[in-house]
Amino acid sequence: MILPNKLIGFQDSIIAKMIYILDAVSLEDQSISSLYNKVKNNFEDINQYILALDVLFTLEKVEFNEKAQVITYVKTDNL
Amino acid sequence: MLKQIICDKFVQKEIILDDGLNAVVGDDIASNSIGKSTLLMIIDFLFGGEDYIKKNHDAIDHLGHHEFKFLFEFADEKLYFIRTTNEYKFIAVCNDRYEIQKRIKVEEYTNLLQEKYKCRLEDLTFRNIVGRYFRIYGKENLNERKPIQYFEKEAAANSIIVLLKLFDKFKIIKEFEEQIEKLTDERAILIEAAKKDLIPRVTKTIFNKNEKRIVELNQQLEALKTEIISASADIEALISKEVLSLRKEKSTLITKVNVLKNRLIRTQTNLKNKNINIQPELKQLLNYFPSFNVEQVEKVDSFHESITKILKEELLWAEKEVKAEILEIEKQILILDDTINSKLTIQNAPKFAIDKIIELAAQINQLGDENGYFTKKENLDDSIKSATENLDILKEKVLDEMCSQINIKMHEINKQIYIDGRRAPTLNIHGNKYTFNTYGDTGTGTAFANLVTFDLALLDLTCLPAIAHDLPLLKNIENLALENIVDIYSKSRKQVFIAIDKLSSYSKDTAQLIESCKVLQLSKDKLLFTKNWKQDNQTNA
Repeated sequence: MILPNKLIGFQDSIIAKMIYILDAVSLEDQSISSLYNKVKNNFEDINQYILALDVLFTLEKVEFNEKAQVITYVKTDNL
Repeated sequence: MLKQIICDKFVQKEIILDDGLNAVVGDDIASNSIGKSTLLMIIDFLFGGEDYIKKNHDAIDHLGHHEFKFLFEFADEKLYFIRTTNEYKFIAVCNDRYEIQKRIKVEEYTNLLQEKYKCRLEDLTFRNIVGRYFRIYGKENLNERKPIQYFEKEAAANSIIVLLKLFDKFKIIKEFEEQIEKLTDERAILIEAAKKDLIPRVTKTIFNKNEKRIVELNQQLEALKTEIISASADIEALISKEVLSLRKEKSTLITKVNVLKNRLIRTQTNLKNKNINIQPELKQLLNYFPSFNVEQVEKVDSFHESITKILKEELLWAEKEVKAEILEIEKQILILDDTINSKLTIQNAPKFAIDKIIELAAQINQLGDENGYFTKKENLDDSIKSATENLDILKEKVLDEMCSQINIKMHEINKQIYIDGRRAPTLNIHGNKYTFNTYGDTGTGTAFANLVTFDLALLDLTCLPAIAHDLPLLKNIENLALENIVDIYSKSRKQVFIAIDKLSSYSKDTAQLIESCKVLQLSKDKLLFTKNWKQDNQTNA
């Protein structure tokens, strides 16, 4: 369910869903709960949202600021 | 034929009898109590009667018990018997020296006589044949107006039946009567059963109502039959289509619930927030991907733990929601199951129809049975009615035939008795009553002559083996007529026993004729028995 396959289409894979989170956090830091409220319509359920965050964290695309309790976008130099 | 009587109490020990007329003759001064009637009564006794014991018991009182040895002769056969006044219910069968061989009951004996006399008739005993026409003083069959009466209190209906039997005409009537009796019994049983509610009580009104109802029920039955054939096909088609779509719906719901259950498991796993030890796998991974950021991966766990902690509320909420959803869907599945089941039970529709058919058929049967009883009773009533009518017709015909036979014969005999052309007596039977007289002649002598005529007619027409006419019958008849009667008696081939006296008052020819047929002469000086108990100074021989 992370990657698309013959059973799960790209739209339903976590890869695709991660975009919604990235779109939100790239603009500003988000608390986990408010982020969830913003994007939950794009997710099957909360578990999928948690999994998407796990994947983004593993890929080092997001970080968790324990102090502020927010998710921050990790900017990378694309050049 | 009775041929010989021996009694040691007799003055004349042995009396020899012959075919035709046998006369016991009294003296010219018409002496009474000399034994004429008694001898006739003894003859009756030897023919199986009991009146000698019952009505003439003075003989036994004065003489003590005594016995009669007697001989019957049939064709070439001679039968020797002894009957005693002591054991009169038995007869001793003897050899030709009157030595007792065996004792038989009177009934057996009379049966034997009936056999030998060839007068075996349906339901008629020998005594009932002979006894009636042995008209002896002391018996009750001397009523000149009632020739067929055996005893005073005998109902005319019974006398008529016996007469019919004697003419062997009762058999056909009896068959009819038995048939009617059987039908009447059957009807009585039916009515009794209805009374006790063993079978339904059905009146004409109920019968008609039932008939109408049977027609209605049959129509319903027919309608139901056609309905079932078309309906069952339709229902099957309909049901399979509907059930199919319901099953499809159910399977969608099951998939849905499975998804939800998976989601629930995931949510609950997240809630438990268990750490997974992935260290060994990660170390191995580094062997192949040295630049792999293991630290980052190791941090995922704590990241995951952190965010799930934060999202605990949402997770709990999600768990609750999923559970509720699962419940709701499971409820829907149950409803679907019910619907499918109920749709399938519609297949019981033919079963219901069959039940209905059975009920209708049972009702029709029941009504049919009820009416069956009614019809049966109606048929029985009809049968009884027609059989009774037929019996009446038959009886009348048979009685008419018999009467006309008797009347014709009496007319013949009467012509011989009264050569001056006097009217003959007639017997008329209507139902259970009869009359016997000569139209326009109510004289005593005529009446007794009529009785004699009647007996002579029967002697000729039937198997009646013998007759006995005592003096009281004969002495009232005018001489000329009696002379002719004696002439007829003498010509009979069957035995006729008479008691008569004052022979000198009759013509020479008649006196001579009687003399020649005389079996015993009695007088004041020659009594039947050795002892005379009618006088104070007894005479002993």
